[in-house]
Amino acid sequence: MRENRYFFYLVILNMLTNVVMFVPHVLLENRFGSGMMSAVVAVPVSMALLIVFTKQIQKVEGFTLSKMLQATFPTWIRVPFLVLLSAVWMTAGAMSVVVYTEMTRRFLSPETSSLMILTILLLLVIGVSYLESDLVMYGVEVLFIFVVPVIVFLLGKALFSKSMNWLEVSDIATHLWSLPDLKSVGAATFLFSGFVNMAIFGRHFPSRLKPLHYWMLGVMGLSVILTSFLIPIGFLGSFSVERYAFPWMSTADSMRMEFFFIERVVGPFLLLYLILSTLCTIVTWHVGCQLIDSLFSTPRKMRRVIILAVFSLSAVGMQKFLLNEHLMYRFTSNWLVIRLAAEFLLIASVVYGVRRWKKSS
Amino acid sequence: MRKSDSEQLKRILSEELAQSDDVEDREMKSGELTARLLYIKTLCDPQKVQRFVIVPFWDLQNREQYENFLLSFPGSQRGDRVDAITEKLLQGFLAVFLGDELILFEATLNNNSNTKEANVETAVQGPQDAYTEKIETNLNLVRARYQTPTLRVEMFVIGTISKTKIALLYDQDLVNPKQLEDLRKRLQNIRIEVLQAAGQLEKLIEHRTIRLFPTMMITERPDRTVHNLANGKLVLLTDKALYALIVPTIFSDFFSAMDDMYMQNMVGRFLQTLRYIGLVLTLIMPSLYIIITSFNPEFVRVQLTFSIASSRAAVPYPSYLEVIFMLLMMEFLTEASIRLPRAIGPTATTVGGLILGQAATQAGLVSDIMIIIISVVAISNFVIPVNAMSFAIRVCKYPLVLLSTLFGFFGLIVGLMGLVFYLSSHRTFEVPYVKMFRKERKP
Repeated sequence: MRENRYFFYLVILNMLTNVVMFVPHVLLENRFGSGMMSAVVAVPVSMALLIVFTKQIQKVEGFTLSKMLQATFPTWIRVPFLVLLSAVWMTAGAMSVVVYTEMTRRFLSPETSSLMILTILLLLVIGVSYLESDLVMYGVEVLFIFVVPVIVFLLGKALFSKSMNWLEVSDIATHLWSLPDLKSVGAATFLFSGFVNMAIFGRHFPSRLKPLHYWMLGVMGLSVILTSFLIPIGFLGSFSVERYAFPWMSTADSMRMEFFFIERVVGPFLLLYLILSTLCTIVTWHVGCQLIDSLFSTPRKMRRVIILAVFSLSAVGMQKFLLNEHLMYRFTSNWLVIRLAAEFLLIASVVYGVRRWKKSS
Repeated sequence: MRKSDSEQLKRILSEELAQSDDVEDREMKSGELTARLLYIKTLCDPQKVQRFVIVPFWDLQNREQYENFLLSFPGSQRGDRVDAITEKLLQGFLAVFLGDELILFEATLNNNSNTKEANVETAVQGPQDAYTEKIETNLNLVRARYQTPTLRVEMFVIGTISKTKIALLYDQDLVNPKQLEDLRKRLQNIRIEVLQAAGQLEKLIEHRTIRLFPTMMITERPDRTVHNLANGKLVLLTDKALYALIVPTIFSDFFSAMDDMYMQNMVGRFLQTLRYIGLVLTLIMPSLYIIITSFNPEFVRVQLTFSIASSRAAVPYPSYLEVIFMLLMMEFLTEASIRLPRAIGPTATTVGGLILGQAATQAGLVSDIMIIIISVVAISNFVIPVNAMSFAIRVCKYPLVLLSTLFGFFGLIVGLMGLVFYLSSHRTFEVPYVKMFRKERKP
């Protein structure tokens, strides 16, 4: 567990940021149809991807994606492929800050302009993501250890809250037997896709996962996806849940802490998600800029900063382009499907590449 | 003892020990008689060595007489086994080779009367010795606590005018050779005229231009030094400077006092947790006050908001001015009481405390709750056991105050994240500065 914990951080980080990435929205939209089934189906699908990916990279000592691609693919495939991958990663990080900015403007500090909020977040991200992978990870770990227990506490509080209406939840649960659809599965598999960050972090933090770890991840993922899907339904009602722009924020706002000097749960919830979504951006952009940096023969700090600056500009552009949460939602839900496809592509290339690499060496 | 044995013994001893610069290996020759002395200078009393070993050698001129003379002292004995001899040497014995014979002569130097009690890093239950201003005494203090032949001492002289002696200590078997090489190189590259303090040396070894957090520990406690040596760290002792430098030191080391190790483990854990809570409080309390009064009063429960608002009713300016004013007054008070002569110090604190605590609230310049917050900030800052870190944290709260004045909660959280990543972006001698769940070798 000592060395595997970094793998768990990456996966759990993605699991928890699903709220920001509109995953519950997609599922809630289909709550009377494919939502429940898609949530359940997503677990074996993404666990299969995760297991294949981790098994493959364990086969090679000191695996890095770029080294493998370099050894097995011609340049004209390798370069566009890496650029495409890093674009997908870039979008993940950008969406996470852009959406969070919208949330923060709505719930935390309505007077500050969203461009200002976004700029500050982006400055922090640029200042961190260009560092070496292990240094990024150690910082992530510290914040993670502070944040996750509180999030788990809040989720537990929601589960055992009196305002939680289990009848509504069981109503939705009866819609289990319907065919899953691509959009919902694409959304639900996002929870597990933290493992792809191992393509870069794997070099510094090699993981040796045992079957028990896979089971742990599977159970954790299933419970997180069910909570993030069903708790808003329990709090806000199976019909009216779709009327909220950010159902999870409204859910948090309907909880109350009786015995603490903070009364409304939404406050700490927002601050914790500020940390989580920034961490998500830091991690994904770190991977994105490292991927592009690996196209060049020698890594350079300055180059990574420039790449991150380009990322930031596109994030600002995204914010200008996606004016409100409806546009953001439509964009993100489509992106989630593209991401699933990209993930399949990545894993196919890893399976093929590792086999050829082993044969040739 | 046979001749080949004795030759082998000499070789092993000089190989094991002689790599340290404080080991003396000396041959005396007078007529037919030769003797070779091998001892650790910092552990032996030079007076005793001179009077009872060197002078008689010239006076007696006869091997048998000299041998009997040496053996007549209490504690003296013949030695034959290498490990026993090494052990004795590390206790402050002198090895005298006379032909094939080896005599161990006790010349232990006891520094108990010279050392003072530690008064910067105090310990409740634990050794009270502190370093002195003399490097020989300090080496003796370390040597006496770390009795292995693998402990190496290398001497450097730094400073074109001051010619300050620096001793580099490490355990040959445990040290990371890359770090050692790196530190040696950095020491050799130092160009300075006057070197007078361990902190100055730290600055010269570090390359960064902007430095806030200490990356080397300055300590006055030999027991902390020895503990760190046993963990494979490097130690620098500076002559005429009282303090030792421990390299490399990471963030969490600054939150451990030596007492933690001497107490029950749960108590030690509890104390460390307390310090981290203190760290968080001293960093965020002033910012929280600004945010709750000026940005998000709806954040906390209504009763608390009301009581803060009512205590602030008389204050005629925005909360950030109140906070900055009080923080500055607290810093002035702390600084004044540190630098003043002992006789005046208490007066300053009494006057300052009275004026700030009582009069300022009655005059309606600051709120009561602000006074409480300021005292929490000050006290929890002092909970951090190592001074250098405590000072760095003192600086850190001002950027956070600035950020929360401008952006409220958002600014505070971003500032805290920035702080965490700023810390984690450091490396000292290739060791990451912040790393959780790191295993430490038990000494």
